[in-house]
Amino acid sequence: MIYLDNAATTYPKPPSVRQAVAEAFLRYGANPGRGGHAMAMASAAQVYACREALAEFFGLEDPSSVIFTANCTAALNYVIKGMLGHGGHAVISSCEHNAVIRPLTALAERGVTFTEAAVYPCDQVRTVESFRRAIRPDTRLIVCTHASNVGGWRLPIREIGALAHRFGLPFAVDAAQSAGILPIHMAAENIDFLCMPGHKALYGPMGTGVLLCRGETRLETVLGGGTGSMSLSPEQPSELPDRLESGTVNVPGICGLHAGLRFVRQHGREALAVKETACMRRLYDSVAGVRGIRLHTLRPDVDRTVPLVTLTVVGLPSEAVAAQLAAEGIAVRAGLHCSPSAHRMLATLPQGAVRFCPSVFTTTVDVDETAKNLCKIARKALQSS
Amino acid sequence: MEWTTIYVSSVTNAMRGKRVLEKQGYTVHLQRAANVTEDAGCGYSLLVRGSGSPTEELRRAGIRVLRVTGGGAPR
Repeated sequence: MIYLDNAATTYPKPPSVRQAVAEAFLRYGANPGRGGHAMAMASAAQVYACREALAEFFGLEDPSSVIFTANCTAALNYVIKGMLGHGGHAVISSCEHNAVIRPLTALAERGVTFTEAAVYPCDQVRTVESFRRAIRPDTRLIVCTHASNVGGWRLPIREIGALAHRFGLPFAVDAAQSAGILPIHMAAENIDFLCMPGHKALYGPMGTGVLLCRGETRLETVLGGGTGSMSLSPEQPSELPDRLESGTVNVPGICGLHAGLRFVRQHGREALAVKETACMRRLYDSVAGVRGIRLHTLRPDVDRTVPLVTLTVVGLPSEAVAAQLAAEGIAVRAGLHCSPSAHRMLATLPQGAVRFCPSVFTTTVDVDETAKNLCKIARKALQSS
Repeated sequence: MEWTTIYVSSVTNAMRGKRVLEKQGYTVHLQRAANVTEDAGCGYSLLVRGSGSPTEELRRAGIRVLRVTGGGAPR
């Protein structure tokens, strides 16, 4: 199989990740932060080591402020509901994932409203200005994606974060497509809440996500429950990570995530970005100008985009294109990618588009085979139209 | 040199405290708090030996110290 659905989750995982998960079942099978016996302490040490590694990688001083979640969506929910549970206004971008749109929409009954700031791909000044114009006196949060999961373009998060702080607002970033591939330093980029999956470009297992919190802003809790600490109190502990991390954490997943992060560091985040961008540029250039193929993303560029290509084939629904590719052993994702907002920007509603995203394991042979099949599908579609 | 037991609220604080103190040259053992204490319920403690003021080091690092007792030894 040629797997180009890495924007949904990376596959395969590195051998070191698979080994770390298997080892966790054998050696770290006790609940961390609960018991005091040797295996519980060993398990807690593994979890803490992953917190430290994540904090260091993303420019966060305090490892206690690294919260493990089930996925990026959960992390975003913690921030959005934790900030806006009592009402208020949020500013988001015009290309958000449903992980942002749906929690905000659900909060409408509590009086929450939000404004979509227009994003102008590759025009930082206009994009930041549209965020500025969207801020109101009752704005409580700015939250936006770092890079569109459909269009691939990057948002100027450092500048948006600076804007947020000028207005005294916390700034949250959805790093679903960027964590592990783009440089992110929370302090340098003015990020207060950084939400990410562990299972995409960090190469961890599915079922892992992370929320990193910086600064003084305290989130109201979405989940409450046992933390193994301050147990006499019926109230949720005030300190992180326990405040936001009730119940047993996913120790095998966290061990796998730590191994994934080590893998990224060993290969070098920048080198991975360069390699994967080159793969997608090769695909882009192979199909650009081919009759019947419409490219909707910018030409992949390590300074402007994340490595993905989105396209449509004239006369064919995107799902039909993906099905034909799947029949040839090529795994991609079609449809709306849980981001109708981004598809609205690309004018690809309601059919959506077909998305291609590589990983470190993608080869030029994979890319060429995919391009060849795409050209064949487009040719057939033109012939039958 | 005597051991000091420093109670903190969570295993994460204990892990972080251990790192902080070890960097300052203290010998540190991390263990489950011996008793369910009034101020914390379940928790963890750091058994610390070394010259200086480990509780101050922890406070400077932003780690809340619940209680400090003298004596004890690694279990």
